[in-house]
Amino acid sequence: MSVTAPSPTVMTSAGATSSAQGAAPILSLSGIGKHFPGKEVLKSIDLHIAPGQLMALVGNNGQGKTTLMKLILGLLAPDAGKILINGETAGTSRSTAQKAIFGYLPETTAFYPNLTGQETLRYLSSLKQGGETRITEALAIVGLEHAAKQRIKTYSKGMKQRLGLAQALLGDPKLLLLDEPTNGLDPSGIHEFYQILGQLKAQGVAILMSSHLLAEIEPRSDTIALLKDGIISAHGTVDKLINDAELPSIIKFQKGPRFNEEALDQILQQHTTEKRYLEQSGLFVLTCHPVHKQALLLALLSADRLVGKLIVNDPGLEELFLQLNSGLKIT
Amino acid sequence: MSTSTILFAIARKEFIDHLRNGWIIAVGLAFAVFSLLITFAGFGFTGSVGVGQEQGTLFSLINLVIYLVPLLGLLLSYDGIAGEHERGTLDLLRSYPFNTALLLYGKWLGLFMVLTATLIVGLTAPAAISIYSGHTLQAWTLLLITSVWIGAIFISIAIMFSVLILDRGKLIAIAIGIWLLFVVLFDLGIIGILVSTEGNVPMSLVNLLFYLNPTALYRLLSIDLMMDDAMITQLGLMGQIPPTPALFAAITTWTIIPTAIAGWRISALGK
Repeated sequence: MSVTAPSPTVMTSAGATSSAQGAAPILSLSGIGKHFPGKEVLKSIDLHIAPGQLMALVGNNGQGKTTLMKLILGLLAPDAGKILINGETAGTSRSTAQKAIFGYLPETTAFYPNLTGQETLRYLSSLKQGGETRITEALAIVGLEHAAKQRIKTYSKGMKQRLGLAQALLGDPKLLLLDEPTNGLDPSGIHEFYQILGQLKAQGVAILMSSHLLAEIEPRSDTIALLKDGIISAHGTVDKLINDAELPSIIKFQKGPRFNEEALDQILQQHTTEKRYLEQSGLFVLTCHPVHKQALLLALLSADRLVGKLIVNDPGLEELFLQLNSGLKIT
Repeated sequence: MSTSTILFAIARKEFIDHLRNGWIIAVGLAFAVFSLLITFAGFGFTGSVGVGQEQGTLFSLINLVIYLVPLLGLLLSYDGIAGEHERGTLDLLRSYPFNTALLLYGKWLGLFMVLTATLIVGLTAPAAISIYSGHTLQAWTLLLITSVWIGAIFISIAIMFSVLILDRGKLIAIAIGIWLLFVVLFDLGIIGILVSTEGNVPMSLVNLLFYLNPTALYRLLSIDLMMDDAMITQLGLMGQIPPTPALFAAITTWTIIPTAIAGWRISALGK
């Protein structure tokens, strides 16, 4: 049986695309290297972030995500490479004007237990040249107005994280550097957090965010940069990365009323597909190259009641991440 | 945003933090108990209050200050910057649009205010009793100023180590070590030198050694400023105290140098 019909039958995940491609980058890194005694953390990093762009920095623990952020902020000095902030070369230290564009959320910040949330923001705002009104606004954005007058020692981890985000928003930053920002947030908090980021993006704020919660960042990032072995081993939109990686699609189905193994094998032969049968769940699992997926699906569905319930799993960021980290080459 | 606004914002936050965690009241009251004991003991020895008695009380209080205030300065400040580092706020504030050295100077100023308030709490009661008994405010004011100053030197030293080491566990050990060195071991060392040489050491050399120890400088300065000639003679120090300006210059140097080293170091963090 041959199938040539082109129309897609199953739609699955899709990444958001950048709204600001082509704009002059607010941050450019080229050839950035950094080593600590006995360990080369970053070999040669090239990155460019444009206003209004959300880039997710993905990588296993210890791959240098936090180090890279500290290099951008000037908290560490690179051994090699060049950093441009707003088109201006940044040396080992950041000028006050360069620092003024940053909003930084460190991975963990405990703040000051004896101050209230409002006092903390007032303190930090005065160090960031911000006014009183911005404090109320920042507290409202992160949903902490109700706890503004409570001391931080009574805050939960998620509330501290929200406070951290609120301080990052003070002073109208142009570039947000968020290190594992959704740590400690509950699902509704995460949802609200990305809504806030969406609004900031719309205002032209560039965001570089590190995370290893792939399912969370996949639908929300414009671009993904995968940090591995000291380099950006993959970079682009989620769709592009997945397409480039040619990760296999997985089709699972139950036997239909007129199931016939010979007929199935005949179809599979034509579509370079691996087949497994899961006894417990009674499911057939087919693994095929993405280019064969549509044709295979059509063939399966065209066969007379060969298949029952059918599930298609398209590869996502998580599969991509696993493949990249297992050392398989991507083209 | 002016430098002074940032400086005072940091100092203010530091002060509020220590007011709320109970440090100022708790330590101030403990200090008050010690200083009241000394004051009453001083009055009690003769059963009457006289000029000589005030001198004795002040001298005892100077010794109390030598033992306690350096320790207070060190304990107050040993984790000044290391604490920010552990809390994650040091990196955060280093990313803020102001010179990071201001964080250090602001913190120094805040801790200085905390210590001043603590000593005001600690010295008010004995001073009030003494002044009520007919003594002068001047000596007590001088005692407060010199006490705050010796504390400020140890705040500077502790903050310097806090920036250099950035590890609270090590820093508490260093703080205790510094206190032992300057308050206990140094004097024992000088006594050891005098005994082993049977006193054949020029006084000028001993005086030079005093410049290496801020608490020794404080003792000399306080005696110079607060004790009358009779008391100084009684202490065997007549003609032995270095000139007042030299003492002031020395304690000023002891205050500024560690803070300057810390300021330089904090700006160079991560480089």
